[in-house]
Amino acid sequence: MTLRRRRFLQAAGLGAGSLLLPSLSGRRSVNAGPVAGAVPRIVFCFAEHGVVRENWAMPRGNPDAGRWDYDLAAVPDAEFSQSLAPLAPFKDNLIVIDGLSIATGIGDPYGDGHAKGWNAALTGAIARETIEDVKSNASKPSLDQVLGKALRAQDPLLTDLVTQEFGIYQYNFHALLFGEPSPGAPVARLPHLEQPKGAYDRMFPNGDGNTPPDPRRVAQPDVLAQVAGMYDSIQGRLSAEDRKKLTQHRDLVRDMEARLRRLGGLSCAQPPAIKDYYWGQVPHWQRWVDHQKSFWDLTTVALSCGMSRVVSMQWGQVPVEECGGTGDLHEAYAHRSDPSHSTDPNYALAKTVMTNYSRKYYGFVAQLAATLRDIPEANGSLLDNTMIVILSDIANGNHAHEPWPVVIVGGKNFLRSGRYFHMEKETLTTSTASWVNDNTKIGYPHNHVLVALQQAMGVNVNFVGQPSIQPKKTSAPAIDLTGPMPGLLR
Amino acid sequence: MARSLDIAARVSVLIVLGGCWGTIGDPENTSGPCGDIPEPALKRLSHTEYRNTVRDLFPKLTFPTLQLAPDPTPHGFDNDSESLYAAPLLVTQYNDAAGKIAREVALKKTMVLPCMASAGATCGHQFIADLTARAFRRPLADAELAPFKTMFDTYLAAHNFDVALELTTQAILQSPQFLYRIETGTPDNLSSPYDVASRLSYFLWATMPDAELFSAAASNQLGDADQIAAQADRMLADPRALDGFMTFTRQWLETSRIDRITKPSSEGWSEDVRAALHEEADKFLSEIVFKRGGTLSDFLLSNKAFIGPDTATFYGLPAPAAWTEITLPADRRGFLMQAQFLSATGHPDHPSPVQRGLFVLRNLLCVELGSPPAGVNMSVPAPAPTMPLTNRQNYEQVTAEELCQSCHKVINPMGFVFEQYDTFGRRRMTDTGLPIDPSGRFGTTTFVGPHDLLDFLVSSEQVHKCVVGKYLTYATGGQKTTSRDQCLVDDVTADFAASGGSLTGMMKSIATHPRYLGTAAQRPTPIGGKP
Repeated sequence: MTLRRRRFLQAAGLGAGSLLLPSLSGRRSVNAGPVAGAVPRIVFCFAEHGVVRENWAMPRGNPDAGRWDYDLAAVPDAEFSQSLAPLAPFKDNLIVIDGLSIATGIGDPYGDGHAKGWNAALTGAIARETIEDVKSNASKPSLDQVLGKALRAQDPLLTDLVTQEFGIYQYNFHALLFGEPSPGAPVARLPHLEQPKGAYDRMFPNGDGNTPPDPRRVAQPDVLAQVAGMYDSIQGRLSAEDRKKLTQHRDLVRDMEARLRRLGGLSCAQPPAIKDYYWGQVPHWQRWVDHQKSFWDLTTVALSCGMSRVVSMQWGQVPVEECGGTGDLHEAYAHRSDPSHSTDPNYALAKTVMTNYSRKYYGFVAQLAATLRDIPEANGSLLDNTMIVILSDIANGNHAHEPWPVVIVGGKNFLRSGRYFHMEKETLTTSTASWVNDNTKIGYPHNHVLVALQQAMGVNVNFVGQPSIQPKKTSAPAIDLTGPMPGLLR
Repeated sequence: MARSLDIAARVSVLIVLGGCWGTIGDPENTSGPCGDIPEPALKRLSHTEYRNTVRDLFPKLTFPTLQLAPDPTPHGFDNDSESLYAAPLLVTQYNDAAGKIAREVALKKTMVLPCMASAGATCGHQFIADLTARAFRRPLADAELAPFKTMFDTYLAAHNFDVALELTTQAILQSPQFLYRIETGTPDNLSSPYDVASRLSYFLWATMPDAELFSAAASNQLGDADQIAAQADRMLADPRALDGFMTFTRQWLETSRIDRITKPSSEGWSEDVRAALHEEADKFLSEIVFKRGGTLSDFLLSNKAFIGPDTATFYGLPAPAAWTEITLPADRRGFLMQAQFLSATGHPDHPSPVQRGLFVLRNLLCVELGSPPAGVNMSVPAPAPTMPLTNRQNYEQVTAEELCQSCHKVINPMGFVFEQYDTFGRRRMTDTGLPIDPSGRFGTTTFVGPHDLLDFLVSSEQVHKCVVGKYLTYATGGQKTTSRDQCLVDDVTADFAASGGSLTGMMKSIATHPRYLGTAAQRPTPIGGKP
């Protein structure tokens, strides 16, 4: 892939003035701060079921209590844990965080562990307070969408492609992304693209640029302008709420129109060759691998060209056979890999399968990281400017939300990379369950990591989702969810 | 309470399950006459309706797959008007789909145009008037047509007829009047004849009105009850009525569950089996329940079913060469004892009495239970090999705690009655070498095995009301109803009972009800019930 960097910088609208990040909180000012001129981007990756902690964590002789961190870059590759081994080549640009909790998920009385994680992991908020349809009721938009909105406000040249949402074999139901709500409607699950061709067509409305302009393609922005106009002139029996829905639709059409006008003049890279299969066209695993490469190639172009600043990749379950098992991964292995199932005859096999499972996803991330590392940018590489964040809905096979594992590859121009962090159980539990003791302690709330990522992206807001949460022990003060996790920002 | 549940709740019977979270019935449920007709809600076409409408707009054309991101189905149905709004990806996909359709229209214009392209703008304008009248489901005034004509003329002058045709078609297919059902109404706030035509067609057919409905609307022939009834009869006899029925039924019965399960291939599971189980359910519902005018009783108790080469083994029968209608063995009756349902509610290595019980409670009895409380490990451990347990005993142990029992004392006994059918739906008389206990209960009613349960369900007023509620929720697109709509619920419930539980009869009952159609506040002559 050839990237014309000067063209990219022009296209992205990233003149020197726009690169000045807002000043951040006082806690941050003690750090070196982001590398001047570096343009932050972020990729959120999500896979279900957490990790097998004994094969994931790398305590290096440290105690299981207390806050501590160490230099990952000094760890020999061969000493990386089984799960994290694929990321060893990036250890100087890698952050591993152990000991977090999804405090807002734990404080959510509704839904099973997965559902609570879907709702809270990227929203930082407790789910909507309803017992109906408990698995689809986040109360706030997810961080990727929050960032997209904020970044567009900062840079008018960004289009609605500022965020892109991809997925592989991911039922939309099991997902972390929630969109900005429609007027009068609650926050809703955000769909994602499963076909690389759909993403390609959106990013490259004029094709590969090697064929003469098609008048029908050239006319698309004007057609959309015409369509948008129809939403203004609509007649009929419509309530005020209904009119708001139509206005929202119109605005999205206008967004698309603006995107096409903008992308029509953007030629920073050759579109990648992609492979795109419908379901059943090729074996499932081949489709997965090829779609993964296609989506990563599209991600690379989108991030490098300034089309997108935020990309999400939501994965379904890797085929169990690729992990050394058979049958149903969730039932037969995911649950049974937790130490609470240590007497289960399948426990050992379950741990092996689920370790292989998480290793697969880290392997996918390593593929993207390697590509981004090879693309030079000001102040280093595209990887140095891109934070690839790998999340799950739960911590482990017991549906717990702590110790919640977070891994960040890249982004060393904004984060204190090359560190392994361990956080302590120091927060009063937010669980409302009757059998949980009031004084139970849970891990450090993950909201602080989300805040750090938000600020690393240049969005100077001091909380994500909600600024505090009440612990179970009602006489205790509210738990502060503001501010970035100490030591995470550069 | 979310508004889409209102109808189902209004026909539910209030029962109390001590300690179990959830919604069981509507404490505000009161019978009575209907009040004023509510304002209609804006309805975006569901993806099913969109695809069917495109099919019927251009019946001579075939299109590539139109990718549309899944819509939320918060209450089990994909046409919930509250949830169907525009999202960024969907708007892009509408644009892509419109582009594909329009391209095909231009490429095969001779199959689509009502005139000769050589007539230029005259033909283009004729096409626009014809297409918009059908796509927008009402004729357009000149002022509404003008922008499309101007657009066509502009691209005709700049390029050629094909480009003008394609781009104008694209714009029409992204217009709000196409993507949304926007009712024009009458001055006295009733549905216009064209509104009525769309309400009939999208409920009964899950697609746009046909030429006859449009014609009836144009000549004001959708005004009185006889005219409506005649149209409903005609539409129910049309093959598209099966689309409408199956669109509802597949969602009500959650037949897509079969897409989310896996079983060991060593036991014979394969993608072919998955597809065959879909077909088994579709054939039963379409052939035996719908086409033969089946009743709720047929759905629950019929001894007819279809088996195919990949499913016969689940019934212990020799595999036929092709799909064959059979009389079920005496140990099976109805949908709930067929392989599709029994497989879809089973884990890879054991059946799930919880899923089976929940299905009956939620989908047939409209008992809405809450979710498990926070922190509960819901996995079912394998019993220790040294101390074999039946599946039932294992589930009883796992859910024995008082906290679990607040719900599982209701769920488990409903599911345990199916224990003599394994996770593939195969009949079994023992489980891990132990005898199976298929007894169960609901409230104070006890059962031994599924036949007892089915006999209870088929005569249960609560089940009849629940099915009516489900169909009304689907029919109204989750539109908010209040106690003002009680006459609709009462009338349809009464009609359903009077028809002996006819499901197609219920379709007609809903489709012809003036409250549903928005033509009057209530029926002029109450049928089977309350004023």
